Amino acid sequence: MIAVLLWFFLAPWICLLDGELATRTPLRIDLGAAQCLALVLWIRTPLIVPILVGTAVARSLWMGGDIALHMLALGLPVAIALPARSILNQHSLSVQALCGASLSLLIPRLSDALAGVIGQPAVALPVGVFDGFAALLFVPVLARLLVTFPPLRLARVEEQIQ
Amino acid sequence: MQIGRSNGMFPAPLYVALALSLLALAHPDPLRSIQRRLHGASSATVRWFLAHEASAAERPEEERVRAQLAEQVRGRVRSMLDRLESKAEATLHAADVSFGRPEHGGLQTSTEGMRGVVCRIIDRRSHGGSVDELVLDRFDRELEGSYAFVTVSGGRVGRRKNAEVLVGFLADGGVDSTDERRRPDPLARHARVKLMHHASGLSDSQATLAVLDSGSEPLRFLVEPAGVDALFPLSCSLWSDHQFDSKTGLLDSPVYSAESVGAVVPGGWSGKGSRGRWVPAGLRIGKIAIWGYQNESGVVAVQNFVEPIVEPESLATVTVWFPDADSRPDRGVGRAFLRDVEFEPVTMLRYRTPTASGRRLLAASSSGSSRAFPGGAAVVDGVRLLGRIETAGNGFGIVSPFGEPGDRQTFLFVPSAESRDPIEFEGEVTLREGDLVRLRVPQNLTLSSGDLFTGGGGLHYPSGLWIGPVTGTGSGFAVTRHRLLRDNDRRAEVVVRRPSGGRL
Repeated sequence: MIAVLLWFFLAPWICLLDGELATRTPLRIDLGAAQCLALVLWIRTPLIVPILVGTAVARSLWMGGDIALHMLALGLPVAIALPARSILNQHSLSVQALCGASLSLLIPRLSDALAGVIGQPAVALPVGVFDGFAALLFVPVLARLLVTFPPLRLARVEEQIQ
Repeated sequence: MQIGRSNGMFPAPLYVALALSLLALAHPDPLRSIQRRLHGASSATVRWFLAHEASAAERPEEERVRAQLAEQVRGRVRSMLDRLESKAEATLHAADVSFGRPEHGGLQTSTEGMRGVVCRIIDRRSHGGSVDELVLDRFDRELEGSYAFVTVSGGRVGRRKNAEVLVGFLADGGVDSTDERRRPDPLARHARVKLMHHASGLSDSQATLAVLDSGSEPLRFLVEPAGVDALFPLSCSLWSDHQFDSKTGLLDSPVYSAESVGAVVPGGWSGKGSRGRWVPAGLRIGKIAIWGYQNESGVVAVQNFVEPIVEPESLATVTVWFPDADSRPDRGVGRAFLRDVEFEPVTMLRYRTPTASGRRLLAASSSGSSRAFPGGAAVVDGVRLLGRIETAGNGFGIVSPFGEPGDRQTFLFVPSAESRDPIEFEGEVTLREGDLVRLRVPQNLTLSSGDLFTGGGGLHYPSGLWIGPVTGTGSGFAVTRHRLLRDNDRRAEVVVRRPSGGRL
């Protein structure tokens, strides 16, 4: 619960950092993809919804669009990928890279499609194929960073060495 | 080494949350207040940091000087706009401004014994189609005693530049019946103009007797709303000479109003409202447009329409007419521009977003007030427009800066040469590079040296806010220099119009 509360207040800062990274560097990496990758691979299942709500509220605040729109744009890929968690090797770099690149390409397109359906202006960063390749490397690193430090560290799946 | 994993790979709460989100996306209105509170809570730490940083950097003397300078600039702009408004009114009442065409002997009507009052448009509404209703900056009570017909200057009749164009009629009473089921309308007490093609016109006998010059003698007919799906907004019916209703030779013929006191409808006159429906002769309405088909003998007209010569989206002002000078309301100079407006100080944070536009501003109340900012309100630095509040919260708002591509609004261009008249037009931002903003303007409009102001775009987005000087112009475009907030600028103001019940 503490992790969720802390995340709710930290998410707006992450989103601001996201904007700085996206506009000051040539890389168009959406930190939303890194957050989704963290949710899919490492976050405890009961905490996924509240953490997702915190992220959606922050993105809606800074980027525009309804909270529900961001909730769907981030949540749908997570909901699709989450059942595969049991068969994915979370420590496999290739799994992380492929998941990260897929999310990085999928989230903006889904976001734009949803915004188009309800007649709201597009709120996502346009991401090209080159950005997808960059995401292969950077999204897993950023996701790793997110779950290495609190508050998401507190929400990680308990890893038991057997 | 094997990693143990938690169960619950099919999280029902996530699926329920997504289903609820889908529902919320389809019906967003009931959740607006919850969304506002969530935004407020989420941004609390950022706003606290912003207030802390602003107070640490506060230099009272600099702030005092800045406030004085802002007030001086506002005073100069108000003074200039007051002169413009006085000039506009004077132009309306100049001797050479009259309705109608002199060569139409029997149709000529002058403005003698009438006085026009320029009203600014603060909102535009539609009822299932294009804009068909204008909300004015005057309260309905202020316009008591006026005629119902509403005009706009700018039509060209022969060599006359200032021909009056009939745009619609004042609605009786404030609230439109179609709005009664909705939430309380903050503009309910403001006067409204139902444009000639207003959706209610079909059931309200909103027909106007019109006339056109067919060569031998004037042809009379009715102009009425054509319906939402029609090719043109107005259609023609009941021609005085039935032979003419299928002639294609009338294409593009100018259409004027004929003097009338209202249409006969079952149960009486359509003009039995408090204002009556007297319409003077000679107001320009539009030009004839024809829908038909081709056969061996030529084109056969199936239906005649009237194509209006003004677009409601491009209007910033209209003129309401009173029977004589004595009954006109005491309005004072300059009330139309920046009137009843307060400037609420805010602290600004410029930030970047991972979106295509990339720039946004956070405006947080400097006074610590948690009062909700009005959505759509203008944000200014002194009198210079910075942007418009896009997401309004309690004590804060997210501002979409002016100059984003796709931003479409009404502008007021004030030429540097005092002898030239200001121009109102609808434009759209197409590009921003640094401080230069490129606008798409109407093709037939060429702007000279001068300044660009807002033309009004809502209750809290008044006309008369300075945007910047026009630095370049050409066919269909203009370039203005607009400086956005610098990273270390923190002070700005949100424009809030006082509640309509405050004064008359």
